[in-house]
Amino acid sequence: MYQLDWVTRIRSRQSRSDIAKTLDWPRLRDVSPTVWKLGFTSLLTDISSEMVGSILPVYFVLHLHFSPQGFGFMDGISQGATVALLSLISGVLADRWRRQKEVATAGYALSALSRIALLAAGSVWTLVAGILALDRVGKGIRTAPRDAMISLSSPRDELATAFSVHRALDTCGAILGPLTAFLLLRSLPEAFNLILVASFCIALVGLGVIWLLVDQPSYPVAFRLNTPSVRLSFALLTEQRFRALVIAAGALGIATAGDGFIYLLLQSNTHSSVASIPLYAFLTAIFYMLLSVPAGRLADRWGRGKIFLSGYGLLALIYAIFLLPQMGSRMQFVVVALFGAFYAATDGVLAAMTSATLGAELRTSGLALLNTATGLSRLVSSILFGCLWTSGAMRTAVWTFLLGLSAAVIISVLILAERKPE
Amino acid sequence: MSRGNHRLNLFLLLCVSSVVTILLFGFAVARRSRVSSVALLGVKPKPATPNLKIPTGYAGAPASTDQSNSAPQSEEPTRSTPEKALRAVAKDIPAASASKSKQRGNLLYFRTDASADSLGKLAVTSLDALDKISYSSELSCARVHFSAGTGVCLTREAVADGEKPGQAGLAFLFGLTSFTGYSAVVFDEQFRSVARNIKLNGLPSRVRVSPRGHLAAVTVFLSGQSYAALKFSTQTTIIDVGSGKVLADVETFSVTRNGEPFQSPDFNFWGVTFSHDENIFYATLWSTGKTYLVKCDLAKHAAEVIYEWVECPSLSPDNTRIAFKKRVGFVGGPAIWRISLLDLRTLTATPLGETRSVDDQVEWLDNDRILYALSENDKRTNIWALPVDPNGSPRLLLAGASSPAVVPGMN
Repeated sequence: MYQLDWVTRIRSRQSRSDIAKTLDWPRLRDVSPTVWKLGFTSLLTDISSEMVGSILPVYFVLHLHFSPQGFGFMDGISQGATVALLSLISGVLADRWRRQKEVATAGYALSALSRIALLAAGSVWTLVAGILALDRVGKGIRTAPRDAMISLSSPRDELATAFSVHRALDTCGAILGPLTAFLLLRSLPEAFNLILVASFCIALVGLGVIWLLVDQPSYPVAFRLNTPSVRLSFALLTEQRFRALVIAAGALGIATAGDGFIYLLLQSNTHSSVASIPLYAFLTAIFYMLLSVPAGRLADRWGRGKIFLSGYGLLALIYAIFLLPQMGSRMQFVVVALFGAFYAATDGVLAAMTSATLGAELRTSGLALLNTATGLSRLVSSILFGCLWTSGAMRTAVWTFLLGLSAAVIISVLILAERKPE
Repeated sequence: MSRGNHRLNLFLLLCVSSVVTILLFGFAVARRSRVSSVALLGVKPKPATPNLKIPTGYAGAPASTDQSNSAPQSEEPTRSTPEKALRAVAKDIPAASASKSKQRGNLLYFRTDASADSLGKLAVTSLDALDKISYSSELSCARVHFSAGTGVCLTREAVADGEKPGQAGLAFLFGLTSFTGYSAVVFDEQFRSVARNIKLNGLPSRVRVSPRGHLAAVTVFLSGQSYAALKFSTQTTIIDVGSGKVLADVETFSVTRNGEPFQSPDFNFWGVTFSHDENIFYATLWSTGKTYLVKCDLAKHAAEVIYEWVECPSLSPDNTRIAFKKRVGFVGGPAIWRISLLDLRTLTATPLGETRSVDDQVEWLDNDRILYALSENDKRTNIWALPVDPNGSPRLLLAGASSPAVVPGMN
C-alpha cells in the first residue's frame, strides 16, 4: 500500500538517523505555532458560523416569518458551482502572489462581514440569501490557502499530525458554536440580534488571529516553469501521484452518503425521535475532535494511505450496520463513534496526503482543485442517494452505496499502491 | 520585534473590544426585553409613537381596586411595578368572569407581537372591547389556541417548575433530545397551567384545540439542522390534553386517494382542524411538491384525500366550509398564499377578498367572518378580520397580535 513518504526518503538518501527519528511518534510539541494559530482562527470562525447556523431555521421561520419552504429553497441555492470555481481561482492567485495568508484572511473577513450584514439585512429576502452565499464564498476562498499554510509550516513527516491538530480545533468550534447559541437563547429568548452581534465579534477575533498573529510561511523559490495559472493547476492532473489522489478522493466521495443521510438512516433504523438528529451531529463532532489527533499521528507513523483507506473501511462498516435486520438503540452510539472516527481518519489525512504530493509552488492550487473535486463528488453523492432513497427502498440505497464504496476502496488501493515504486 | 508587539497589542485590543461589545449588547437586549414585555399595545398603533397602555380591566369589568392596577402606567413603564401590574391583571380574570359571566361576550385569545423583542405573551381580550386586554404574566407562546375552556400554548422555553437555565444546558449536553426545549403548556381560562407540559420534537408551527377541549393537534417543524440535502419536514400529532399522551402521529395513518391506497416516503402533514365530534379532522398533506386536503378519522387511523392544493385548513363553526390558504406562486422568495374558501358540500373553492399573501391557519370568528395574522413589511404582526365572500375587504382587528383563537360568548 501507499508508503511513498518513507520510500522516497530512503531513495533520496536521507541519513538513517533521520529515518529513525521520523519513525518515532510525531509529537504535538513539534506542531508549528502557525498551525495552532490557524486552528484557533478556525475554532473561533466555526463557533461564529455554527452559532448562527444552528439558530438559522428558528430565526427565519419565527423571527422573520419565512415559510419553511422558503428557507429550504434558500439553503439549496447557497451551495453552488460558483463557490467551487471561486476557490480554484483563489488558490491560483495565492500561489501566484505567494500570499496564502492574505487570501485566507480575505476569506475569513468575508465571512465575518456576512454576520454583520445579516443583522442589517433584516427580513429582506434576497439580501439574506445573498449574504448566506457570501459566507459560503468566504469559506471557499479560505480553505485551500489555509491548508497550504498548514502544510508549508509543517515538516513533511508530520503533515497528518499538523492537519489533525487543526481539524480537532476546527471541530471544537463546531461543538462550541451551537452550545453558545443555545445558552444565549436560554437566558434571553428571542435574542437573535445578540447572537448575530456575538457571532460577528467572535469572527472578528478569529480574523484577528490570522491577520495579526500569523505570519506568511516562507517557501523557497524553486525553479519555476510558469506563473501559476488555472491552466497550470489543471496540468497538475497529468502528474500521476496527484491524479491518483484526485481520482481516489472523487470515487470515495461519490460513495459517501452525506452526514444528513447517515443521521436520518440512524434515526429511522433505531426508531428514535427525529429530534435526536442534532444530537447525532453533536456526538459525531465530539468523537471527531477526540480521535482526530490520534488518527493523524497514527497516519504519520504507519502510513497515511493506510489510515485514510481504513477510514473508508469504517464507513463501509456503518453501511453494513444499517443493513442489519434490527438495530438496538445502543447501536446509535456505535454508529456515531464510527462516523466520528471516519472523519478523523479521512479529512485531515487526505489534506496531508495531497500536500505531500504537491510542490510548494502549486500547493494551494492543487489543494483547491482537490477540494473542488471532492465537493462536486459529494454533491453527486447527495443527489444520487436522495434519488435512490425516494424512488426505491432505503435498503436499496444503502446496498448500492456499500457496493459502490467497496469498488471505490479497491480502485483507490490499486491506484494509490501503483505509486509505490517496486 | 516591536512590530510583533504592536500587532499583539492590536490583537488584544480587538479581543477586549469584542468582549465589551457583546456584554454591552447583551445588557441592552436584556433590558429591552424586560421593558418590551410590558410595553403593551393599543388598538390603533402609530409606528412613530407607540401607544403604550396598561390595561385597567377586563371585558368591561370595573377597574379593580388593586393599587398597581388602578393607577395606569405612564409612557415610561418603570421596571418594578409593571411586573406586578401584569400579575394583578391576570389575577383579575377569575373575579371578572365570575361576576360578569352572564353578559360575557365573545373572547379572543391571542399571542402579543408588540415588537421584535416581545416575548409573545399570551393575552385575552373581549371582542366587544378590544382595548381591554389581559395578559398572562407567565406564559409566552410561539403559537396558541383555545377552545372550550382549554388552551394550548406552544412555548420555546421550558416552563417546567424549578427548571433553571443552567440545568437545561446540562440536560442538553447529557442527552436532552430537543434542541431548544419546546413544549406545549395546557392552560385554563385563567392562564393557569392545568396539566403536565408536553415535550415537543421541534419548532412550533400550528396548534388547534378540538371544539370540546379534549384533544390538541400540534404541528412542529423537525428542525435543528441545516443540511441542504434535507428539506424541512413536519410532524403532526394528536394529543390527549388531559393526560398529555400522544394519541396518534398523523404520518402513521393509512391514506387513500380516489379509493386507492396512497403512500410515499416524503409525506408531511400539517395544519389540523377538528370537526365537532373530535374524531374527524382535516389536515394538509404534502407529497412530491403538491398539497392535498385530507379528511382523517382518528379512531380508524385513516385519512382520505378529498381536495388538492389546500394548506392549513380551518373548518367553519357549522362544519360545512373550510377556509384555507392556497399557494398561488413562488415569486423568487417566500411562497405566496391566497386565502380561499372550500364548500365541503359542493367541493368548490373560491378565493376571498384578501389580496395579500397570508401564511396562517385562519380562525373563524363566526359563520361569516374569519381572522388571521398577517405580518406587514415591518416585523409587526396584526390580526385581520375578513368576511367570507369574494368581495369582502379585510379590516384590521388587533394590532401587534397573532395566533387568534375565538371563544364564543355565553349569551
